[in-house]
Amino acid sequence: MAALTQVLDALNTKAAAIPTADLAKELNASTEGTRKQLSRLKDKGYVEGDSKEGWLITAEGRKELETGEVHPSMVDEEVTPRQLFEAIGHRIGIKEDRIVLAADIAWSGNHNDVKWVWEALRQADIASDLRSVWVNSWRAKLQKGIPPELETELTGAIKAEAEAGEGIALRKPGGREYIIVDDEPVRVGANLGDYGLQDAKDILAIRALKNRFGGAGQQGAASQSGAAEKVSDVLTALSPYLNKGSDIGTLKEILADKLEIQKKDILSRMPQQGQPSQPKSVIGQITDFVAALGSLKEAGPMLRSILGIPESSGNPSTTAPVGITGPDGKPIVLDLGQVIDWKRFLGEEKRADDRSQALLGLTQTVRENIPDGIKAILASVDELKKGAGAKTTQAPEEQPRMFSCGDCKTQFSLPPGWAGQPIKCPNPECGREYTKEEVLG
Amino acid sequence: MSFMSVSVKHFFLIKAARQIRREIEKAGLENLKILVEAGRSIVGTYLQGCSPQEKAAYRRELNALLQAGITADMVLEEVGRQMPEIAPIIESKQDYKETEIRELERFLKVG
Repeated sequence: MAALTQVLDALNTKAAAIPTADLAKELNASTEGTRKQLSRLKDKGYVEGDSKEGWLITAEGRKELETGEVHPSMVDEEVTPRQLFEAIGHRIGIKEDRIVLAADIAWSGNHNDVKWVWEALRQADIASDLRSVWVNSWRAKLQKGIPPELETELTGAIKAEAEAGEGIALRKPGGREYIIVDDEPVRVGANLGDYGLQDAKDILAIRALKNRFGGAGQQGAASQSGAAEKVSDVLTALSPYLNKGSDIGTLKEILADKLEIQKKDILSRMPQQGQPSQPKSVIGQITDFVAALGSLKEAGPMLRSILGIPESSGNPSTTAPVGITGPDGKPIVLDLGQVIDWKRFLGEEKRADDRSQALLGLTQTVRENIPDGIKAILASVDELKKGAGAKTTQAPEEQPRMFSCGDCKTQFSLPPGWAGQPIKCPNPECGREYTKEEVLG
Repeated sequence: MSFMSVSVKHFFLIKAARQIRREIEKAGLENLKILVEAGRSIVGTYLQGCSPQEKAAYRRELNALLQAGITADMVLEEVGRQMPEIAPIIESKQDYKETEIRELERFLKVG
């Protein structure tokens, strides 16, 4: 959308009325947006006309254009307060999603209330330094003063800087002003460091503890050198008395006091072995136990006997194998291949037996389940089959059928190739003739 | 006749035919074909081979079917419906079906 001054500038160059569309085209703006701007200018009396007749700048508009007092308000530019609020967040380098979140929270209440906006930004977990900048900027946009409740928070940064300038190392809440150099916190400026003062102190304390308990061996040498220094200190302290020839009782008393002090100092430097520093985890305890066992393995026979540890069997690979010797005294060598083959053979035999048993059982079941009627049918079929087979085999060897004459009882047979013609009795005395019906009957 | 009685009758018919079909399957279609071609009665052969106990059981069941209105003709028809392959074997011989039915009726009468 074109600004109001741009619209007035464009109209100022026109001698005649110009339609809204042409003006928008000239301003490279949308027709709708340009029409809105013209309406606003018309309300203020800077332009006249309408969309049908076209627009002309008025004398008052020219005057205002020359004086340059046409200041678009937020409403004129159609910038919403929320957009403005979010723009501040962008400007101070807050991430987009966090800006939207903060705006959502702020707009869930009265966003014109600075206290609420401060609370909303706190709820959005905006860092306090950025929060104060954001709220101050927003407060300026709203043209509101600092609420008394937020005076400390919104002006805290300035105070801290002032106090830092005066040499008072007050810690700004949440500010990172310090770095650690040679185990000392060094202030490098607001938000330029890595830690706050308290954080830096805490880290240094942790480091000191870690060095003390972690590097006990190294510290042993250091404590020895420190003890030597202390002894020299004692001698230095005693030297005036030694040179002056003081009485021995006084010397003893001073020496005892000094040695007591040194003893306390040395004891305080030594790591406390008797006190468990921290409860160990189960894994840690197991690891220690295994390590202890490992060390006991290497212990001598005397120590093992004292501690009641049985004699170790040693490395199994180095011990002599338990062998079986034969009658001839030679060790019996067991060939595992033969054992495997034997087992395989036994398995196959067992499977074959099982299969045979299963088949037998199945046959028995089938046999038991076939009813007698079916058996009769099968038997009958077998009989028929056998009969048909016998017929076919016996047909060529069929014996000639013998007949007996009804009169003379003479036996005779049918001649080969008989086709049904009448047959005479072979007895010449009888000579009876038989027809086909008589023969077959 | 009520719907229930019709259903029961149909159920018994199907069950009887199914039992006969099982027996036929045990005997084998080819064997039955041989018997039919030889003119031997399948029913007669079967019943002749049965034990007296089996015969009594069959007779009892067939009489129960007859009382329910299920005739031997209906049972054979249902067998033919369940086993379409048996129909041509029975039909190949003239009057074979009728002979079998008469055989069954004779069996029941004898009892």
